Amino acid sequence: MPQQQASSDVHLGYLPSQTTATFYLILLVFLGTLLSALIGPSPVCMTPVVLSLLVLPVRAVLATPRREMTLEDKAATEALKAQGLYQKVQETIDALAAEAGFGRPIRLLVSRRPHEARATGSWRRHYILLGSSILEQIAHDLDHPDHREKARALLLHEIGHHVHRDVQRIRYAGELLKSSATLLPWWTLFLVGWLSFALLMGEAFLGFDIHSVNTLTPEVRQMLAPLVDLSPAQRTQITNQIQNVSLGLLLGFLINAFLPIIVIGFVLWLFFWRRMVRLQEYYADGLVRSHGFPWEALAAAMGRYPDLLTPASPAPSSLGVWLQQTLIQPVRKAVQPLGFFRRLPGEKSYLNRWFALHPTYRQRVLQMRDPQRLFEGWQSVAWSTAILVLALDVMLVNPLTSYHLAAFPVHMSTLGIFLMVSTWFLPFLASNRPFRRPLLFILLIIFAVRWIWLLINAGLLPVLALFVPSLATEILNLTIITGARSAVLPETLLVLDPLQESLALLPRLFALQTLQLGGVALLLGVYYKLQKNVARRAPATQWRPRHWLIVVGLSSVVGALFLTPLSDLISARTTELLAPSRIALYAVGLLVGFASWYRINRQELA
Amino acid sequence: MVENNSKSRQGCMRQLGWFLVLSSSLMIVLIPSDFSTLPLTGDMLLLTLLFLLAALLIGLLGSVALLFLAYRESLRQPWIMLFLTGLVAVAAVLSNSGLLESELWVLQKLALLLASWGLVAMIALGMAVLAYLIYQDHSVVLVMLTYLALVWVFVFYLRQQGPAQLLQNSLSATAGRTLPLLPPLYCLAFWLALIAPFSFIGHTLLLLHAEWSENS
Repeated sequence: MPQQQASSDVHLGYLPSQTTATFYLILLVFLGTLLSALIGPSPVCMTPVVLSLLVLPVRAVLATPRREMTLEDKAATEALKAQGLYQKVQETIDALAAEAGFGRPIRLLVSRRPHEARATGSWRRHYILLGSSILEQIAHDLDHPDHREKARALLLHEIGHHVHRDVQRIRYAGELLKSSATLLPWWTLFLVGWLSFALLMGEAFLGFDIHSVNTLTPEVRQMLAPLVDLSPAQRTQITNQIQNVSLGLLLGFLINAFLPIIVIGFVLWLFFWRRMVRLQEYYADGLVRSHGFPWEALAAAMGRYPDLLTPASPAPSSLGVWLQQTLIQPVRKAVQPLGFFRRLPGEKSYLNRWFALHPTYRQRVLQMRDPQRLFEGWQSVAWSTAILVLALDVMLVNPLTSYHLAAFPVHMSTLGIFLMVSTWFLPFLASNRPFRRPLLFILLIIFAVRWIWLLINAGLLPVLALFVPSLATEILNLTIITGARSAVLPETLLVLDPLQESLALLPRLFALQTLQLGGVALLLGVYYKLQKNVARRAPATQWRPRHWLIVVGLSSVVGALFLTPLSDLISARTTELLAPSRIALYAVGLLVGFASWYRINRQELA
Repeated sequence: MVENNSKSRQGCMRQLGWFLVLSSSLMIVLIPSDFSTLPLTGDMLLLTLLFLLAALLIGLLGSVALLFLAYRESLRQPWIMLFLTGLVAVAAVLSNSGLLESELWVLQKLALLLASWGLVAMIALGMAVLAYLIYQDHSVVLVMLTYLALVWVFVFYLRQQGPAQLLQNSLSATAGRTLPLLPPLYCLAFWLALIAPFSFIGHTLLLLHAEWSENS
């Protein structure tokens, strides 16, 4: 159990980690997409597409140990075992893991990369991968009174990644985001090709007569006839589809449905996944500190084992190895003289820090000296959340599309903001420190970014309608028809006066945005009310589970019972209020809310 | 010692495999186009034909089986699959190109040789896919790439030939010549449809078993 430190009011170990919050945020975006796919109408089957995105990464995590085993140096393992060094380090790992409260065995693997030190594994299998050179050094340092603490600090840091489940989360999230950049383009290309082919061939198929194929013998023609000839029912169905389904609309829907997920996956990978990878290091350092290691010992360990400061690179897949050898390395070699890929020595630039996979020595030392920095840095929470919200609401699903598609994008960013900000301000509540000013700044930055873009976007449409009405008419009609998720073109244009339509939309758009701001304020307000007194009173060990229960419960209830019907009302979709899918959503929201409430009460009683 | 034995056995299989490849190819080249010129009649001709056919079948399939066993380590790489797919494509084009009816003996025999090996390659491709997917957990990637290629090859032909003509050509006996990319892709897609689901499920079960038993 982590020990409370005198130097800080609230210990990191008891609080919900921002690594977890970032992981849930990534998951939330994809689960939200799945929810949209499940309950929204669609001309193509969206559910298996999104489901494949979520399921395949689970399998990729399962396959991690097999891939990592390719790095195992068996000869070095035998040599180190013969010297007794392997056993010594393994025993230390076992003892430290038990001390950290980690119940599962952690196996030591000797890597073929001599200076490697990292944690790896899958859901139930846990490993620490050490290069032979670093393992030898650790084994000798464990006997040396001056260096023992440094060696133990390094091992405990790696154990910390297992204790915090960083290995699984980082890998799952990484694979999830990678699959949005590989699987979705595949689905897009496949479906575009397939649908184009099927629709264009339909007419030819209707008029086809097998007996007209002269190159076939009469026997073969006779044999193929039952396979090619259509029944009257099939003929009617194909005729209907050819006459009614618009290929342009279908392709438009595919692009509109998949492109946002691909782009949001890229944004999440660029900003959030990397942030998650960086944050996990601080929490692993925090675990080392909570076991009585002074920050100086950990800083000294970083000096003695510089690999603690370099990002871990997992074993590449066989396909990756092949690509590296045949494509990437020759290209790198060829362009090396041009000066690309040159690494700057020393500190990372400000821009680099946003995309770095590992914090710098200075950042980690500052963090270790003052653990509260992780929570007090409101700027990082504000800007990263603003970027996500921008990506979700503005870059991908522009306000017009979100108005016509559904209200889900609005809810997703509302819940995302709540998740990130509540995780940030719990430590302030727990330590009874003032947070109003930074909270206000965070919300100001997030909403300023959104509303500025909204104003640009909303202002452009009437301008376009005024000066280029034909283009504005086309944009509006296309948006509405695609948003209706129909594959059939309407008989008449839905919007004839673009200026009137765009001006009529503006109040509703702003009402939706106000609803989102209200939603965030409501969620944070209720969260504050629920946590205000209890956070101080409750034992520190209850902070984390209580926080997640409240976040899940509140998000479900407010999202399903408040935001969804209100946004339906604002979007003038009153018929959908009592649709079966909506009723199911209300029921699920209520159920999750009750379950969370029950668990919170049980926890309080205990 | 055991390793040496295995290596020598592998070497023997390799030599025997290549010998069978050469002898079967030679047999294909040397088989006369017209058996009526031979001084054989009735049962003897039938027996000779049956013997030649059996020898050819044993030679072609046996050589492939031996070479697969001898080069089993190479089946971990996708090259053999790609080579066999290419061979099927070449054979499909040649067998429909009219070269088999060519006046020139060399061209005629070359076409016959490649067409025969193309037929064997269609079966061998299945074995290569099976071996590759046993060794490697790449069923998803392979299925994705093959079916994407198949769909876009269809779209390409659709644009090139028009829907009605494409439908005619795809069902005609000369599909190999008019649509040369389809036979190898059909063949690969067929084998993948048979093998890939089992490979995916099998590898997943292995992964789950390893995870459950906490084996590395």
